Amino acid sequence: MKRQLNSPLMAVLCLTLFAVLVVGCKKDAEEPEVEDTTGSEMPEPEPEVEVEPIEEPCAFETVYFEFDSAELDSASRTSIQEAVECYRGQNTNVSLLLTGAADPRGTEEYNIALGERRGQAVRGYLVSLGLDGSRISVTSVGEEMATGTDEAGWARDRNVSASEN
Amino acid sequence: MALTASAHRRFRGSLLCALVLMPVVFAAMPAASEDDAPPLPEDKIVVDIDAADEEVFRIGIPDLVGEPAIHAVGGADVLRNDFRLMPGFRVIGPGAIRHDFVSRGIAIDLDSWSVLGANGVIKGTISSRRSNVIVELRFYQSTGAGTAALRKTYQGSPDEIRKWMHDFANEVIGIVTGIRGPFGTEIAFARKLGLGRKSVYAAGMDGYGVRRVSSGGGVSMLPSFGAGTIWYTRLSTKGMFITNARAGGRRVIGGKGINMAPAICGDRVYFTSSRQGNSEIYSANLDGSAVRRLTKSRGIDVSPTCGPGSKLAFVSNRHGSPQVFTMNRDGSDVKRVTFRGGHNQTPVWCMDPKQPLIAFSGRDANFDIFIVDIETQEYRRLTQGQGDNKDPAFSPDCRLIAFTSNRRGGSGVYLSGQDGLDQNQVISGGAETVRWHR
Repeated sequence: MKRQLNSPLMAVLCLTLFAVLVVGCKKDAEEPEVEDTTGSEMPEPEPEVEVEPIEEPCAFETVYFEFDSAELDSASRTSIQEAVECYRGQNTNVSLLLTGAADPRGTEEYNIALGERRGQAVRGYLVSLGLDGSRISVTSVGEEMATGTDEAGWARDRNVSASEN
Repeated sequence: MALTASAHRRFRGSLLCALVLMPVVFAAMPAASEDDAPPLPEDKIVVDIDAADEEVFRIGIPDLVGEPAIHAVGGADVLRNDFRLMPGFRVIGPGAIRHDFVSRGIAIDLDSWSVLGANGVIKGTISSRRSNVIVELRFYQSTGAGTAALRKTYQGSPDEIRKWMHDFANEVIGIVTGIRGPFGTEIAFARKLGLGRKSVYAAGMDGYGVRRVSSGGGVSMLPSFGAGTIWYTRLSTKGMFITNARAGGRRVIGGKGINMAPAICGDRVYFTSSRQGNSEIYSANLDGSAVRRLTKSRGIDVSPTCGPGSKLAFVSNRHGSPQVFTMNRDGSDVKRVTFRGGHNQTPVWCMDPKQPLIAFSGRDANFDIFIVDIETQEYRRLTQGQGDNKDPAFSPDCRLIAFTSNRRGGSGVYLSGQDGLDQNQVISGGAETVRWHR
């Protein structure tokens, strides 16, 4: 009799335990288990997992110039500083190609030289901030890529952009 | 790619440091201030104005007498166009001629021409013999009592007719003015085909026979004649190098930075290079060897061009704004030669030592063409009030100046007399940096 009574009870208990285990395992797989913290016994805190932060790649923002000028304004200097700090923070030995450009309101030759002068101004500033000058080259496209037809467009044409070599 | 917020915070702190370092960086920059040159002359508006009739030589050029099929390949039309482009001449064409068109063949009836006010007449015949053509041309002057001042007979392939016409025009111009004409010479120019696409072309100075000279895609620009070929500059991803048509676009003069705008003077190439960090004038052998630096200034030095007597002209902003300078071809004896206007660029020097003239592009509101006598400092304005006019080039005899202009929308090449009169378009469809084979 005892045997008869115990058998269904054991079966229910086993099924219940199995169900609990299955549900528990599923929960583990999906989300951290919430432990019952009632009572005085506090669980050991889980060791923090060291997650490798995803570094945003450093960006050298294009800088812009006044007409017939290779002088960096404060916004350009700030932008360059930020890029340098970023490269420094990532301990990256970056090699840059700086390309200077001019608006189309000039002669082709002078604009090529002016674009290069702008690139050299940026290069000089980068070197002064600690970047290795031997890893920074400069070229110019003069007015060859200029698209401006008004003051706003010409202002965009007068720039130095950078690409990683 | 944007910087992170924390990066922004970190970098703000370095601003003070950067401002402290700024004077060090900009010690190498040119002076920003413009020099106080007086403005370029504006007292003469001369665009598209022809010389007064009393000052011109009126020349009658009827169609050649001969076979229409042969005539169609070029003949009197070429002659008429040459004299149309030549300052100081007016063409009396077939539309105005009612007498003596074919009635006297190649002979002349001066009375009928005097009614038209002709100072001279060119008459000719054209015929064929097997695959050759024969052209006989005569030039009569109103003072010549019916005797030809010049008679020539040409025989050869029909392909040579244009060349014969130019030759005869040049000889007639020599008789009338004392100096042979420039027809039959070539010009070269760059043409923009799209963003980042430009090629070098050449054509006759009358605009006939435009042909592409440069090889490859990308940007080819700043042509120049010399050593039997056409030189030009190519833009690469890391700089600019100099090549020529004979080299098929392969690098002849390269090196670090930009290397551009060759001018071939004798057995050396003069060019702009930034190989040592700043834009300076250099020279090299025709094969690119034995490079020598000629200028040393903190400013921009560009646009070397050959002058007479072992001289060069070039542009420098060493005094604050771009101006034209001259120097010996070894870099000595540097002199500034433009003292009016704030942006004077792309000089070209008349190679006749008796005419100490440099033409240049001067900028005030727009670019315009000017000529300065470098001995007297007399300035002449050739263009005003019609778009941008720039990049002048002297003809071999310096009587004509070619330049580019966008006065009719797209850029083209125009010819002008030294006084700014008789301006005519010879190239349309886009043109920059014109050079003349001298």
